[in-house]
Amino acid sequence: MGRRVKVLIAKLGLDPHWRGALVVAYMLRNAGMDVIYIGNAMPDEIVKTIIDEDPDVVGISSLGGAHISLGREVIEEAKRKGVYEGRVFIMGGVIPPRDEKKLIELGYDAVFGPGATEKEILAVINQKLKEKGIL
Amino acid sequence: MFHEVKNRVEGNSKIASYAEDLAKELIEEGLSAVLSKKLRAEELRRINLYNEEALKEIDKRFSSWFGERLPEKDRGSFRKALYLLLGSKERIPRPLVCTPLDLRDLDYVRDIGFPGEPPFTRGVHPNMYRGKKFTMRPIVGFGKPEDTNRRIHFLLKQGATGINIVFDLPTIQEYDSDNPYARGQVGLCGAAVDTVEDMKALLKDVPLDKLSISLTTHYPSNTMILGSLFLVAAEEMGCKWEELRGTVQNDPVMELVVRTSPESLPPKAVFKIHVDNIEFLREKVPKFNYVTYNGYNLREAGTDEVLEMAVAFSTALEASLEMMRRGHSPDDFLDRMAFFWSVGDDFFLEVARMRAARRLWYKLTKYVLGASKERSWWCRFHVQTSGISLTREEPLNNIARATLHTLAAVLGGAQSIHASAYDEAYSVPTEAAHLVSLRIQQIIQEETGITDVVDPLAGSFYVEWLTNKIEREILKEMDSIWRMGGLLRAIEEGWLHKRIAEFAHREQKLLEQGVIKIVGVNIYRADKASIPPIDVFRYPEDAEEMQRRKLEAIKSLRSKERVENALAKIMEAAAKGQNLFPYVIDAARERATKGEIFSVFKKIFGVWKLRISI
Amino acid sequence: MRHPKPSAIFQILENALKGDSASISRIISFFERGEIETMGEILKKIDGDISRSHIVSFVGPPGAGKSTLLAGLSEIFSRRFKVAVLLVDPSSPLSGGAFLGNRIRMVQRLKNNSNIYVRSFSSGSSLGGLSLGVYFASKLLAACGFDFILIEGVGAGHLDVKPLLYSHTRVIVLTPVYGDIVQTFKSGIMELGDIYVVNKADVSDPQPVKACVEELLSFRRSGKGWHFPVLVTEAINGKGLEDLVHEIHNHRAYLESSHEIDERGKIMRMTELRDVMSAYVSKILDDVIGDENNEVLSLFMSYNSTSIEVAYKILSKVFGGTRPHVP
Repeated sequence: MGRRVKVLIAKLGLDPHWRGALVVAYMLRNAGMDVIYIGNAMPDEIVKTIIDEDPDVVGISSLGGAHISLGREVIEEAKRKGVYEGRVFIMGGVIPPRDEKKLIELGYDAVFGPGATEKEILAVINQKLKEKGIL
Repeated sequence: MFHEVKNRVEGNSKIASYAEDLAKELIEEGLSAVLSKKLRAEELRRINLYNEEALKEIDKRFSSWFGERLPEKDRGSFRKALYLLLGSKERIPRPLVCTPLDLRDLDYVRDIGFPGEPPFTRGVHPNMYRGKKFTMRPIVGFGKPEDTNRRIHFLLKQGATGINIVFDLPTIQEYDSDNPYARGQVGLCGAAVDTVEDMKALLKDVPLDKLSISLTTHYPSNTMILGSLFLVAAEEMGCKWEELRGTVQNDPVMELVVRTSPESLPPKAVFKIHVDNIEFLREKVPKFNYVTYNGYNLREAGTDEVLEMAVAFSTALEASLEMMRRGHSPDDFLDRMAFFWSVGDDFFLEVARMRAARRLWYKLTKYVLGASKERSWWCRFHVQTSGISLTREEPLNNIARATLHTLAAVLGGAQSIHASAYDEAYSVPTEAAHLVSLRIQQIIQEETGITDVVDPLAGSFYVEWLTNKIEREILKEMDSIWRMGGLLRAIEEGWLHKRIAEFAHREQKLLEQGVIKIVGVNIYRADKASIPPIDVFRYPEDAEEMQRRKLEAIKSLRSKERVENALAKIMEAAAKGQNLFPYVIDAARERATKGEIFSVFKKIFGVWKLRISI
Repeated sequence: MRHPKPSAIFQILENALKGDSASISRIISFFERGEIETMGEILKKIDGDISRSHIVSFVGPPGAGKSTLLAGLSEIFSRRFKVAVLLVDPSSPLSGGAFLGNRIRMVQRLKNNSNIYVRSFSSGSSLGGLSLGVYFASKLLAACGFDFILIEGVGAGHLDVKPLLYSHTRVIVLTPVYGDIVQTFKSGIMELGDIYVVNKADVSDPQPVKACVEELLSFRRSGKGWHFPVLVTEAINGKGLEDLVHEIHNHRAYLESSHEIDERGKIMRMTELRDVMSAYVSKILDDVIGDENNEVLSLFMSYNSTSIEVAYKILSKVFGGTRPHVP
């Protein structure tokens, strides 16, 4: 039946910049993954989607500065609903270097800045999927 | 739920039916076809500038130069596509050298003309910058209104001749500062404005009667809301609306395509509000530019110089047709229509396309829409130099970039300019960065002598050839848009999103492959140690808390009943198909917040999400 | 852990049958990616009469507005029923990946609405039009007590035949554009529908297309049986959706009173069987053909053997015993 990796991509909160998220969606689709793109969503909507769609990777795009405040809520809500384990959580966008560490501490597996290349993104995703025993 | 409401046609019904027929014609026959038909009907006589005998001689010599002098490899790639950021790439390959042969049938009077006269290629005014310097209009906005007010005064003191106010994400997306959606984002990237009181604080001691104020209200819905807050504030500060000069953005493409949000209004609703804004502002605030068509934000999202203008002009045409359907004559409103371009790296193309834009818009307004007053034919525009081309690495390089972009804008004849600051990739500008941006413009204006001669690049074989070429390309794109049924349809079908997504994806690849070169990023990289870090702006931390408190205070002081009545009246007006602006103004007067007004819009029109396909 | 041991799977299944959304999702994921033996075990537990649920499929040309329609319909159904929406997007034939962008329409409506379950699928490469994941998800959802299961077809013409066959009520969604009818007709699905919808009536006059469909249906209407309604909707404005829900209820009632529901059930069961078999065979073929050391294949690729000979040899080995008749 084949095993395709399923990825969820969401824009965090009010952030109106959608182009980067779509470029990443494109990259991952071309790499053979199934990509669900839900546009702007608040943490509770993101977690509801995780519950329904059971993705292997959750990618959050944030260029609007809410990556800590709302980003934290995504992880906490996912844990509360019991859907945090066994998934790769990634944050991408305009993230000040000092906040990258904080996000990892909060529970994100990787953080990407605006200069991340396709190669890097795919490599990190594959590595993390292997680490979590998904691939 | 929003049921399609047709505005009653008051006024001239002849114009309305002309507009209906015209719209059908444009979709069935295509824009270029309609335009050529009307131009041919004029039977304008053309006189070639270049002498036939001279051209023959040049032709001969070009052939021998090409065959004998030019190295083999250049012969094979005489025309070369340029790979620049957000650029036209294969659309407009450049010849190694341009000659009169590229402009064989150039007619000075018909194609270039004199400034201030049709076809306006050289500028909208006869004396251009000798008569009125370009406005130095920096963008400003962060934190609480009071914080922004302080920076406004700083800039005015340093010589800014205009101001462009930007708002924070919650305000742009039309949520109040105390809304859960706004958490963590109040005062970032722009000023937080919830009510009339905030507008007044923002504009404290700013000479509204003398200074031209731009409000980056982005969307039609927001223009009606923030515009109302502004107008009520101005009125309460003692300024008559007839005296106010400035601009609002009011662009449907911003609301439907460029941005994405948890809750958007449907395309038809956005367009209705867009035209309501035009109608209201043109009549009540006659010195205001009621729209600045994108342009800039579309380009930065991911398109090239051609599509940027094609979309802006298509939106403008579509809005004009709707105004005409409502019974307004083109000459009644076109004079305050304005545009907003991004100026990027392709120096000569940027200059050429600003000239082409003026010429094309003149043809569209006069021949397609049938406007007869000269002011209706002017393509006036504000320029913001491209933000995306400014890098995080080696930020001081961005001063050179912004300078080149600003220079292109000046040579292109812009009415007002914002030079992006060197710390663009980091945050909102520090005072120091803001100052440099102003100085770039002032240096060009005062030290170079460029502004004392109108359209100095005219006559350059390269620039005139580019002007002709890009005008044709823009028309081609507009043709595809109209054949789809117009810009609104193109948006509903997801066509525009798809173009942007594909373009953005390709740019990313070309950047990663090093085909698009950026100094300091993928070519000539310095090691981090040799670059001193710059000062990065830190947002004042209290914006969210202060705005929250302010809102609480206002809500306790205002009359809940009057606010609810005013909001209810907006809904009634919508049901009757009326222009909503006056009702929103009334609500603003009662201290309704922007979030409350937007909620009413959502209730009336419903919420829409585009299905994107890639 | 994401790949649970077999015993853990049955616990998850128990939770799913009790209605836990996250568990339902995990079982569906498991169907999409698991091993055949364990899947077989799970299937035993949830196999049963699919007609305890009502499956409605929606097919039609791209751009007909199916997603918007489904978003509105699911909300109406959810007021009284548990409804699942299965959204299908085509897989890229080049990379095998897919962009699943239909859910975005629904995110808002799902807020605080626990009666709607939405799941996105890619069409997958082997079957085209409908993946096995969708079949088994429907079974699971039916077993978990969902009353209505709405399936959105890919919108790719003849590939839509599968979803139509695997449903009780077949809805064909058209636009007011005349060309779309021609295309839909060519793809062969026009004659399969139970309910016809002309959507986007706000964009242009739906009457010409409606009239055309009515004419085509005049042959199928016999006065006694199902009346094959043709509805006009403006999904984006919410117009006409209540009528569509009404007709879906009507169709269910008709199927039951005429006992046609048994017939449909049989068709669905056989479709499932055929497609599971095709999937198996497809997998085998992929393995065999992918095996570059295969001597038989090398002979074929070097023009020393014909395709008929090779197919015969391979399939005989695979199936052994009785060979299918080869002309």
